[in-house]
Amino acid sequence: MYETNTHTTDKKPFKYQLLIDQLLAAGCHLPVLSLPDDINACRFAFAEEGLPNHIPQYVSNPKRMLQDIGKNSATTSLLALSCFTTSERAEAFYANLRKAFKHVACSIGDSLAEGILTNDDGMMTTPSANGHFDFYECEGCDLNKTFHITRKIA
Amino acid sequence: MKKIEGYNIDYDFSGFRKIADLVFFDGPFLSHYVSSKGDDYLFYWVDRNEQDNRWLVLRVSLASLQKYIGKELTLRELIEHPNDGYLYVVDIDNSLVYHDIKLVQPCALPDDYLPENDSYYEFEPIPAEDAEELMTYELTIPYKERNHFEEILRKIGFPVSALKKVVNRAAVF
Repeated sequence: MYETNTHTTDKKPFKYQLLIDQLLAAGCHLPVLSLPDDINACRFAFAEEGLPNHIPQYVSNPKRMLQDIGKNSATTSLLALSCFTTSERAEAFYANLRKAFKHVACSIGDSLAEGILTNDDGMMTTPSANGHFDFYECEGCDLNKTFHITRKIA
Repeated sequence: MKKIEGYNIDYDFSGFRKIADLVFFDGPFLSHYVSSKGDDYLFYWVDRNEQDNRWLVLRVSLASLQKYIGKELTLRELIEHPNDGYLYVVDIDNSLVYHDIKLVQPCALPDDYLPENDSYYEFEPIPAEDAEELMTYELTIPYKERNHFEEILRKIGFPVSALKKVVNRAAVF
Protein backbone atom coordinates (compact mmCIF):
# COMPACT_ATOMS: atom_id res chain seq x y z
CA MET A 1 0.00 0.00 0.00
CA TYR A 2 1.41 3.44 -0.97
CA GLU A 3 0.50 6.89 0.21
CA THR A 4 -0.08 9.19 -2.72
CA ASN A 5 -0.89 12.88 -2.78
CA THR A 6 -4.48 12.14 -3.78
CA HIS A 7 -5.44 8.98 -2.00
CA THR A 8 -4.29 5.75 -0.47
CA THR A 9 -4.62 2.76 -2.69
CA ASP A 10 -3.85 -0.94 -2.77
CA LYS A 11 -1.37 -1.32 -5.56
CA LYS A 12 0.92 -3.88 -7.03
CA PRO A 13 4.56 -3.59 -6.03
CA PHE A 14 6.78 -1.47 -8.22
CA LYS A 15 8.57 -3.28 -11.04
CA TYR A 16 11.93 -2.58 -9.40
CA GLN A 17 10.70 -2.82 -5.81
CA LEU A 18 13.83 -4.57 -4.52
CA LEU A 19 16.09 -1.85 -5.89
CA ILE A 20 13.77 0.87 -4.58
CA ASP A 21 13.87 -0.77 -1.14
CA GLN A 22 17.66 -0.79 -1.35
CA LEU A 23 17.67 2.96 -2.04
CA LEU A 24 15.15 3.68 0.72
CA ALA A 25 17.35 1.74 3.13
CA ALA A 26 20.27 3.92 2.02
CA GLY A 27 18.35 7.06 2.98
CA CYS A 28 16.74 7.99 -0.35
CA HIS A 29 13.10 9.02 -0.53
CA LEU A 30 10.37 8.38 -3.05
CA PRO A 31 8.77 11.60 -4.29
CA VAL A 32 5.05 12.25 -3.95
CA LEU A 33 3.35 10.04 -6.50
CA SER A 34 -0.10 9.93 -8.03
CA LEU A 35 -2.00 7.68 -10.39
CA PRO A 36 -1.71 8.57 -14.08
CA ASP A 37 -5.43 8.06 -14.88
CA ASP A 38 -4.86 7.19 -18.54
CA ILE A 39 -2.69 10.19 -19.27
CA ASN A 40 -1.21 10.54 -22.77
CA ALA A 41 2.56 10.63 -22.40
CA CYS A 42 5.68 10.50 -24.50
CA ARG A 43 9.28 9.47 -24.04
CA PHE A 44 12.52 9.50 -25.98
CA ALA A 45 13.39 6.13 -27.50
CA PHE A 46 15.63 4.43 -30.01
CA ALA A 47 14.00 3.67 -33.36
CA GLU A 48 16.50 0.98 -34.35
CA GLU A 49 15.25 -2.51 -33.57
CA GLY A 50 17.28 -4.33 -30.94
CA LEU A 51 18.27 -1.22 -29.00
CA PRO A 52 16.89 -1.22 -25.46
CA ASN A 53 13.99 1.12 -24.71
CA HIS A 54 12.11 2.01 -21.52
CA ILE A 55 14.76 0.79 -19.09
CA PRO A 56 15.69 2.99 -16.11
CA GLN A 57 19.33 4.02 -15.78
CA TYR A 58 20.05 2.07 -12.61
CA VAL A 59 18.57 -1.09 -14.14
CA SER A 60 20.72 -0.87 -17.25
CA ASN A 61 23.78 -0.15 -15.07
CA PRO A 62 23.34 -1.57 -11.53
CA LYS A 63 26.97 -0.80 -10.67
CA ARG A 64 26.20 2.87 -11.03
CA MET A 65 23.48 2.61 -8.39
CA LEU A 66 25.88 1.04 -5.91
CA GLN A 67 28.49 3.68 -6.65
CA ASP A 68 25.96 6.50 -6.24
CA ILE A 69 24.89 5.01 -2.89
CA GLY A 70 28.55 5.01 -1.87
CA LYS A 71 28.90 8.66 -2.88
CA ASN A 72 25.64 9.64 -1.18
CA SER A 73 24.28 10.82 -4.53
CA ALA A 74 21.79 8.06 -5.33
CA THR A 75 18.24 8.96 -6.36
CA THR A 76 15.10 6.88 -6.91
CA SER A 77 14.51 8.99 -10.02
CA LEU A 78 16.97 6.77 -11.89
CA LEU A 79 14.67 3.78 -11.27
CA ALA A 80 11.87 5.64 -13.02
CA LEU A 81 11.23 6.49 -16.66
CA SER A 82 11.38 10.11 -17.81
CA CYS A 83 8.20 11.15 -19.59
CA PHE A 84 6.61 14.35 -20.93
CA THR A 85 2.99 15.39 -20.92
CA THR A 86 2.96 16.49 -24.58
CA SER A 87 5.06 15.81 -27.64
CA GLU A 88 5.56 19.57 -28.16
CA ARG A 89 7.17 19.92 -24.74
CA ALA A 90 9.27 16.81 -25.25
CA GLU A 91 10.52 18.09 -28.59
CA ALA A 92 11.30 21.54 -27.16
CA PHE A 93 13.35 19.95 -24.39
CA TYR A 94 15.12 17.66 -26.85
CA ALA A 95 15.98 20.59 -29.12
CA ASN A 96 17.64 22.40 -26.20
CA LEU A 97 19.57 19.28 -25.24
CA ARG A 98 20.74 18.83 -28.82
CA LYS A 99 22.07 22.37 -28.98
CA ALA A 100 24.34 21.62 -26.05
CA PHE A 101 25.10 17.93 -26.67
CA LYS A 102 25.23 17.04 -30.34
CA HIS A 103 25.52 13.29 -29.65
CA VAL A 104 22.55 13.20 -27.27
CA ALA A 105 20.69 10.83 -29.62
CA CYS A 106 23.13 8.01 -28.86
CA SER A 107 22.47 8.46 -25.13
CA ILE A 108 18.72 8.95 -24.73
CA GLY A 109 17.31 8.06 -28.13
CA ASP A 110 16.58 9.56 -31.53
CA SER A 111 12.79 9.29 -31.62
CA LEU A 112 9.62 10.09 -29.81
CA ALA A 113 7.48 7.23 -28.44
CA GLU A 114 3.92 7.94 -27.34
CA GLY A 115 1.32 5.98 -25.42
CA ILE A 116 -1.19 5.95 -22.58
CA LEU A 117 -0.19 5.38 -18.96
CA THR A 118 -2.89 3.52 -17.05
CA ASN A 119 -3.29 3.16 -13.29
CA ASP A 120 -2.27 -0.46 -13.71
CA ASP A 121 1.05 0.63 -15.27
CA GLY A 122 2.40 2.59 -12.31
CA MET A 123 2.56 5.98 -10.64
CA MET A 124 3.85 9.39 -11.68
CA THR A 125 5.42 12.47 -10.15
CA THR A 126 3.82 15.89 -10.60
CA PRO A 127 4.82 17.27 -14.02
CA SER A 128 7.29 20.18 -13.82
CA ALA A 129 6.92 23.46 -15.73
CA ASN A 130 8.51 21.94 -18.85
CA GLY A 131 6.10 18.99 -18.82
CA HIS A 132 8.60 16.44 -17.55
CA PHE A 133 7.65 13.80 -14.98
CA ASP A 134 9.05 10.53 -13.67
CA PHE A 135 7.03 7.36 -14.09
CA TYR A 136 7.55 4.51 -11.61
CA GLU A 137 6.42 1.29 -13.29
CA CYS A 138 4.44 -1.34 -11.38
CA GLU A 139 5.14 -5.04 -11.64
CA GLY A 140 4.06 -6.35 -15.06
CA CYS A 141 4.27 -2.99 -16.82
CA ASP A 142 6.06 -3.06 -20.18
CA LEU A 143 5.94 0.14 -22.18
CA ASN A 144 7.48 -1.67 -25.15
CA LYS A 145 4.01 -3.14 -25.64
CA THR A 146 2.00 0.05 -25.20
CA PHE A 147 4.26 2.88 -26.39
CA HIS A 148 4.89 3.30 -30.09
CA ILE A 149 7.46 5.35 -31.92
CA THR A 150 5.67 8.18 -33.68
CA ARG A 151 8.55 10.13 -35.24
CA LYS A 152 12.25 10.64 -35.45
CA ILE A 153 13.49 13.81 -33.77
CA ALA A 154 17.25 13.60 -34.31
CA MET B 1 34.19 7.35 -30.71
CA LYS B 2 36.44 9.78 -32.50
CA LYS B 3 40.20 9.80 -32.07
CA ILE B 4 41.25 13.07 -30.48
CA GLU B 5 44.71 14.58 -30.91
CA GLY B 6 46.29 15.54 -27.61
CA TYR B 7 48.86 14.69 -24.95
CA ASN B 8 48.26 11.52 -22.94
CA ILE B 9 48.61 12.22 -19.24
CA ASP B 10 47.77 10.75 -15.86
CA TYR B 11 45.49 12.97 -13.85
CA ASP B 12 43.80 12.13 -10.59
CA PHE B 13 40.20 13.36 -10.47
CA SER B 14 39.44 11.54 -7.20
CA GLY B 15 39.60 14.75 -5.14
CA PHE B 16 36.87 16.39 -7.20
CA ARG B 17 33.49 16.82 -5.53
CA LYS B 18 30.22 17.57 -7.24
CA ILE B 19 28.52 20.90 -6.56
CA ALA B 20 25.59 20.46 -8.94
CA ASP B 21 24.30 18.81 -12.05
CA LEU B 22 23.59 21.73 -14.38
CA VAL B 23 21.99 19.53 -17.03
CA PHE B 24 20.47 16.24 -15.94
CA PHE B 25 18.21 13.95 -17.92
CA ASP B 26 18.24 10.27 -16.92
CA GLY B 27 21.76 11.03 -15.74
CA PRO B 28 24.17 13.98 -15.73
CA PHE B 29 25.16 15.72 -18.97
CA LEU B 30 26.85 18.80 -17.51
CA SER B 31 28.11 18.99 -13.93
CA HIS B 32 29.90 21.57 -11.81
CA TYR B 33 32.68 20.14 -9.65
CA VAL B 34 35.19 21.69 -7.28
CA SER B 35 38.74 20.33 -7.02
CA SER B 36 40.57 19.67 -3.75
CA LYS B 37 42.33 23.03 -4.35
CA GLY B 38 38.99 24.83 -4.55
CA ASP B 39 39.01 25.39 -8.33
CA ASP B 40 35.80 25.15 -10.31
CA TYR B 41 35.52 22.63 -13.12
CA LEU B 42 32.86 21.63 -15.63
CA PHE B 43 32.33 18.03 -16.70
CA TYR B 44 30.73 18.17 -20.14
CA TRP B 45 29.44 14.95 -21.73
CA VAL B 46 30.17 14.63 -25.44
CA ASP B 47 29.92 11.03 -26.63
CA ARG B 48 29.55 7.37 -25.74
CA ASN B 49 29.94 3.84 -27.00
CA GLU B 50 29.08 0.49 -25.40
CA GLN B 51 31.94 0.66 -22.89
CA ASP B 52 32.63 4.31 -22.23
CA ASN B 53 31.19 7.74 -21.81
CA ARG B 54 33.45 10.54 -23.01
CA TRP B 55 33.62 13.81 -21.08
CA LEU B 56 35.46 17.08 -21.52
CA VAL B 57 36.74 18.49 -18.24
CA LEU B 58 37.70 22.15 -18.06
CA ARG B 59 38.55 24.70 -15.40
CA VAL B 60 36.20 27.66 -15.38
CA SER B 61 35.88 30.79 -13.29
CA LEU B 62 32.90 31.14 -11.02
CA ALA B 63 32.07 34.42 -12.76
CA SER B 64 31.87 32.82 -16.22
CA LEU B 65 29.83 29.96 -14.80
CA GLN B 66 27.37 32.44 -13.31
CA LYS B 67 27.20 34.25 -16.66
CA TYR B 68 26.37 30.94 -18.36
CA ILE B 69 23.61 30.17 -15.87
CA GLY B 70 22.35 33.75 -16.30
CA LYS B 71 22.25 33.26 -20.09
CA GLU B 72 24.91 35.90 -20.73
CA LEU B 73 27.37 33.32 -22.10
CA THR B 74 26.84 30.22 -24.20
CA LEU B 75 28.14 26.79 -23.33
CA ARG B 76 30.16 26.91 -26.54
CA GLU B 77 31.95 30.05 -25.35
CA LEU B 78 32.82 28.33 -22.06
CA ILE B 79 34.18 25.23 -23.81
CA GLU B 80 36.17 27.24 -26.36
CA HIS B 81 37.78 29.42 -23.70
CA PRO B 82 38.73 27.29 -20.68
CA ASN B 83 40.66 29.11 -17.96
CA ASP B 84 43.82 27.12 -18.58
CA GLY B 85 43.71 27.39 -22.37
CA TYR B 86 43.32 23.63 -22.60
CA LEU B 87 40.95 20.97 -21.37
CA TYR B 88 40.94 17.28 -20.56
CA VAL B 89 39.28 14.60 -22.64
CA VAL B 90 38.40 11.68 -20.36
CA ASP B 91 36.79 8.33 -21.12
CA ILE B 92 34.89 6.85 -18.15
CA ASP B 93 33.82 3.23 -18.34
CA ASN B 94 30.73 1.61 -16.84
CA SER B 95 32.62 0.91 -13.60
CA LEU B 96 33.50 4.63 -13.39
CA VAL B 97 37.17 4.00 -14.15
CA TYR B 98 38.78 7.06 -15.79
CA HIS B 99 41.14 6.22 -18.66
CA ASP B 100 42.71 7.58 -21.85
CA ILE B 101 43.03 11.03 -20.31
CA LYS B 102 44.36 13.61 -22.76
CA LEU B 103 45.26 17.26 -22.60
CA VAL B 104 43.65 18.93 -25.59
CA GLN B 105 43.38 22.43 -26.95
CA PRO B 106 39.82 23.51 -27.75
CA CYS B 107 40.74 24.08 -31.41
CA ALA B 108 41.60 20.35 -31.68
CA LEU B 109 38.05 19.30 -30.80
CA PRO B 110 35.80 18.07 -33.60
CA ASP B 111 32.83 20.35 -34.23
CA ASP B 112 30.36 17.71 -33.02
CA TYR B 113 32.06 17.84 -29.59
CA LEU B 114 31.21 21.55 -29.36
CA PRO B 115 27.79 22.96 -28.47
CA GLU B 116 25.89 25.11 -30.97
CA ASN B 117 26.60 28.84 -31.14
CA ASP B 118 23.28 29.61 -29.40
CA SER B 119 23.72 27.07 -26.59
CA TYR B 120 22.34 29.29 -23.83
CA TYR B 121 21.36 27.67 -20.52
CA GLU B 122 17.75 26.42 -20.71
CA PHE B 123 17.76 23.94 -17.83
CA GLU B 124 17.40 23.72 -14.05
CA PRO B 125 20.43 23.00 -11.85
CA ILE B 126 20.20 20.19 -9.31
CA PRO B 127 22.49 20.88 -6.32
CA ALA B 128 24.39 17.92 -4.85
CA GLU B 129 23.31 16.73 -1.38
CA ASP B 130 26.37 18.20 0.33
CA ALA B 131 26.82 21.16 -2.02
CA GLU B 132 26.43 23.84 0.65
CA GLU B 133 29.54 22.62 2.45
CA LEU B 134 31.56 23.05 -0.75
CA MET B 135 30.10 26.21 -2.20
CA THR B 136 31.93 29.51 -1.90
CA TYR B 137 30.65 33.04 -1.93
CA GLU B 138 32.78 35.70 -3.55
CA LEU B 139 33.00 39.28 -2.31
CA THR B 140 35.03 41.92 -4.07
CA ILE B 141 36.91 44.04 -1.55
CA PRO B 142 38.96 47.03 -2.77
CA TYR B 143 42.61 46.06 -2.36
CA LYS B 144 43.45 49.12 -0.24
CA GLU B 145 40.64 48.11 2.20
CA ARG B 146 41.87 44.54 2.69
CA ASN B 147 43.58 45.13 6.04
CA HIS B 148 40.54 46.91 7.43
CA PHE B 149 38.32 44.07 6.19
CA GLU B 150 40.53 41.40 7.75
CA GLU B 151 40.52 43.30 11.03
CA ILE B 152 36.72 43.27 11.07
CA LEU B 153 36.69 39.54 10.36
CA ARG B 154 39.11 38.86 13.23
CA LYS B 155 36.88 40.85 15.59
CA ILE B 156 33.89 38.65 14.78
CA GLY B 157 36.00 35.49 15.03
CA PHE B 158 35.92 34.55 11.34
CA PRO B 159 38.98 32.51 10.27
CA VAL B 160 40.86 34.89 7.98
CA SER B 161 42.86 31.95 6.65
CA ALA B 162 39.68 30.85 4.85
CA LEU B 163 40.07 33.93 2.65
CA LYS B 164 43.61 33.09 1.60
CA LYS B 165 42.72 32.05 -1.91
CA VAL B 166 40.71 35.18 -2.57
CA VAL B 167 43.44 37.42 -1.16
CA ASN B 168 46.02 35.66 -3.33
CA ARG B 169 43.87 36.01 -6.37
CA ALA B 170 43.39 39.71 -5.70
CA ALA B 171 47.13 40.10 -5.32
CA VAL B 172 47.66 38.72 -8.82
CA PHE B 173 45.70 41.61 -10.26
